[in-house]
Amino acid sequence: MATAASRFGFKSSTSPHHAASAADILKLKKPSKDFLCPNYISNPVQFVEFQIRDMKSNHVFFDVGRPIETLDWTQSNMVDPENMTRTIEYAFPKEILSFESIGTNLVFAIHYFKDKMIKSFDFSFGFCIPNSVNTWENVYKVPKLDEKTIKDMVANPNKTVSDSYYFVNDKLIMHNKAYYTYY
Amino acid sequence: MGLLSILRKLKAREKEMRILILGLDNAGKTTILKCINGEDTSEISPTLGFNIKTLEHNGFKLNIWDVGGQKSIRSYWRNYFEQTDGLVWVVDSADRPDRMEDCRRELAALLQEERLAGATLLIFANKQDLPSARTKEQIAEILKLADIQTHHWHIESCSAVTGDRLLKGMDWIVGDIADRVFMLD
Ligand SMILES: Nc1nc2c(ncn2[C@@H]2O[C@H](COP(=O)(O)OP(=O)(O)O)[C@@H](O)[C@H]2O)c(=O)[nH]1
Ligand SMILES: [Mg+2]
Repeated sequence: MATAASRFGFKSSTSPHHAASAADILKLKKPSKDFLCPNYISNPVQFVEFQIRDMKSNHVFFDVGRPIETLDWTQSNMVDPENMTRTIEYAFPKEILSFESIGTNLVFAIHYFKDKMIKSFDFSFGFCIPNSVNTWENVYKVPKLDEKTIKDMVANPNKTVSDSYYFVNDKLIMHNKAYYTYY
Repeated sequence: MGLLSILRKLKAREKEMRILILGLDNAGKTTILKCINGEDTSEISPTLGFNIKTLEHNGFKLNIWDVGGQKSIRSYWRNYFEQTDGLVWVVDSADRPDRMEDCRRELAALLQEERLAGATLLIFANKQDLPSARTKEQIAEILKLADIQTHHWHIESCSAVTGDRLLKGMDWIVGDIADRVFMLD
């Protein structure tokens, strides 16, 4: 089974000490402070493209990876080199915080999977066809944020953090972090 | 379905529906999915795996799965049957006669599947914008829909290029599933 999950929040929480399972991560209410698994070099799941759009205007305001094979992770001075490849920084116009609904579209490729399942505790992909390219777009309503929170988020670049976790057979195989700046 | 199993289903799944879009390759499955979701449909490449859209419709959370239909990957379809509430079968209404026969056979095989036994069936007679398109009555006849006793079914003619009647079909399938599965609400 393969699974993907995201935790999104304004501040970081401390992470569990032991190896993480999907059940552990479900308990996290905030983004984790550290990475919860090693940065594996070879991975059965490869992200090809990630896109975010405003559902109302259909405007795509974020799109990485179209012509290239891997996500274009940004180097940043707040991230140590070892984790560079799994950290991404977004800078969005602050209007995004007041959109009604947005769609996030993930394109991922499956490599040496055979008879293995991909699942997410938020969402379960189930079986993934070997050597396939798959997409998952999640359209969701943006939570109504009050003026003060939006101001806070704009005033504190990179303090809004999200974690994405991916499991294969309930073992955490990938953990990516994203930092958000609104302007 | 017994009361207990309905309750269990309600509780476990909280108004989530799983809808699977299948059909022969080139029928228009991916175009339909994108059109429903308000995306540009001018550039679509053959599906080499699946596309999933998670979206809200009439208060329900829909997980819509579009799985590639090439012969080489049809054998993987069965990996996606589990927990399917609705099956959307897409037909290219202007397809060649031998492909229409393939289409009838594949659909008949799906309807025998135990894991799809509880699923509502919507057939889209797609590509109605083409002059050579068969009518939905002709498609119903070719697919022998009148013989289906095992599933709630409905056929809708549509065009994924113009968007015509797509939402009508989706409203029907979501409504039918809601009546069957969530009737205690
Ligand atoms: N004329 C017409 N072409 C369509 C329609 N729906 C899809 N197509 C075209 O049929 C081809 C196959 O569509 P696609 O969505 O990839 O089919 P899939 O293999 O079932 O996913 C594409 O060239 C589409 O542009 C339709 O309603 N009318
Ligand atoms: Mg397709």
